[in-house]
Amino acid sequence: MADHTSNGNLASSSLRLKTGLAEMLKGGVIMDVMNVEQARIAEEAGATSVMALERVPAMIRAEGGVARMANPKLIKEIIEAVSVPVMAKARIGHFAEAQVLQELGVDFIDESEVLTPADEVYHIDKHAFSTPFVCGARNLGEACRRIAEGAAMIRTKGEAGTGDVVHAVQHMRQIAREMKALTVLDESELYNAAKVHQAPYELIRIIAKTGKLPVPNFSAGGIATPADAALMMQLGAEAVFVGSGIFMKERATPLDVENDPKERAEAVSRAKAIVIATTHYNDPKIVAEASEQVTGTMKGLAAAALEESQLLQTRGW
Amino acid sequence: MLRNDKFQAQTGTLYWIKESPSRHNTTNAEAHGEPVSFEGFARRSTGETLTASTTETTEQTPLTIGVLALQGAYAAHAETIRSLGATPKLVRLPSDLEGIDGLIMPGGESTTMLRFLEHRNFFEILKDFVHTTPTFGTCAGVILLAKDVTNPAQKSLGALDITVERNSYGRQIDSTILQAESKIPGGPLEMVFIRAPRITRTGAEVETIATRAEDPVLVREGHLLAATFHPELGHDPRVHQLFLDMVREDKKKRG
Repeated sequence: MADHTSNGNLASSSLRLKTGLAEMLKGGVIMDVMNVEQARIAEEAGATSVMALERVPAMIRAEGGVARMANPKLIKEIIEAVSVPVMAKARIGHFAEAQVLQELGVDFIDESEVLTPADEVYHIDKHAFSTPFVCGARNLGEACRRIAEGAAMIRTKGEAGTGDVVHAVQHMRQIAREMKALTVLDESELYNAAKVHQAPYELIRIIAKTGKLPVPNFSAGGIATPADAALMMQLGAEAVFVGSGIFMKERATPLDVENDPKERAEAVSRAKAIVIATTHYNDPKIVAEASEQVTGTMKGLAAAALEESQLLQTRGW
Repeated sequence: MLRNDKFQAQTGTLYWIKESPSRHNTTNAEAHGEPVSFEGFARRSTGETLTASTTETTEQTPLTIGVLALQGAYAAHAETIRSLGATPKLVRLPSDLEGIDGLIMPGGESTTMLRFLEHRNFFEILKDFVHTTPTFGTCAGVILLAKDVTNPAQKSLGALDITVERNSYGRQIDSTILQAESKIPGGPLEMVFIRAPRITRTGAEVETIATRAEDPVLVREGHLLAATFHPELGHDPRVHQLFLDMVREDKKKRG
């Protein structure tokens, strides 16, 4: 549906239902998967949700070209294969892709900078959809603008497809710092704070009062190890997305989980360990035990070595 | 911190949201009765909008309620419990079950929670616990408590004599908020259903407290309470209050 003209079905588009599903995902791991076998591995390992896509960010980065919504056939197969919620990505501003994803019954739509943006000015009007949206953010203003557009969950952008957690840390710390700063402002200072952050005053006021975002705040972009997940959780993430960290071997080569039992076991070990570390993020002993079980890690790419033009996080505004 | 009364306003209506409330006067009172607002957001963030009708209970025996925090909506449950004057304790390991008077098993993904129960003998320890101590399951928590699970069949603690069908009302797009009368006094109960399971069979000892059409959605069997909806995401603390009353009763019995 996604009828932009009628008043739609508010019963199912209510913000509470949308953020409600995000609440159910808290403390868990959402894993990028490119086929049915990977989706099954993710579910078996304890993922709370899977993100269906054709190429994980590391492959998009290595191969280049235009990255688009996944083929609906693939998404349907994955929906059929697992009992956990299924997410999928639409390009920034590409509301027609989002309409297709809603039609397919996807549970959460990620309006993602990982795909090639379809609009250089407007993000999707997410209030027009019954399906909840998650959007990336690097700072508080960006997070507030996405929430204003109807996002039911925010995730840090980090730098997807690198296996380098540095930018996820930077973005999470920045959002936390900016929220904390609002809580000590005088009421009369909040109008200017809204201007500085380029964010709606009403949202700024709520955050000033509560010290936290009014929707769940997850982390993504470069999380590759159990300790990375524990780090992001301790920094305030309420759950984590792991993209290329589980199923990639070399920069552009995924583990062959369908044909090679050894590589399948490697993917399972990584997935399980990250799930355990995310729940027990405050217990270094358990994070250590989980990390020990991991065989191999995504090779990765130092984010500092990337040219400005190679960054995915600067997409969206 | 400089805070004044104006900041207590919980429900700032946003000028930039285009939906007008007057156009939505159809069946679903909760979802339609308010302009699109940040009411739910404020609820999530502070818990202050909960109006507990329980001033007397806070003066009774202090209760510690465990909230299974492997994954899911544990934070919202903990907040509701706190607003009702009890002390929540997050349970992530078998040893965390010590010293609690009752346990809440929240919504989330039952498959994920089961993975954690496979280790440290957690499954067996939890099974013993829920067979003897007041436990309240919501959504995925109901699936864990149930005797039988379908769609697909999966392992469960088998404490509550019901059969539960997973994801039975559809996907997220079919999630909904309903209001209905129940056996709990005080008017219609708000019920937030999110990818909810369906109770397809109840045993002879199971009392149905609320229904959705013909389906039981809130049931009790002795020391166990189960809701396929999410009272922790609503504004109505009566279901949690009912559970705290059960816990208090149990505690009194044990002396």
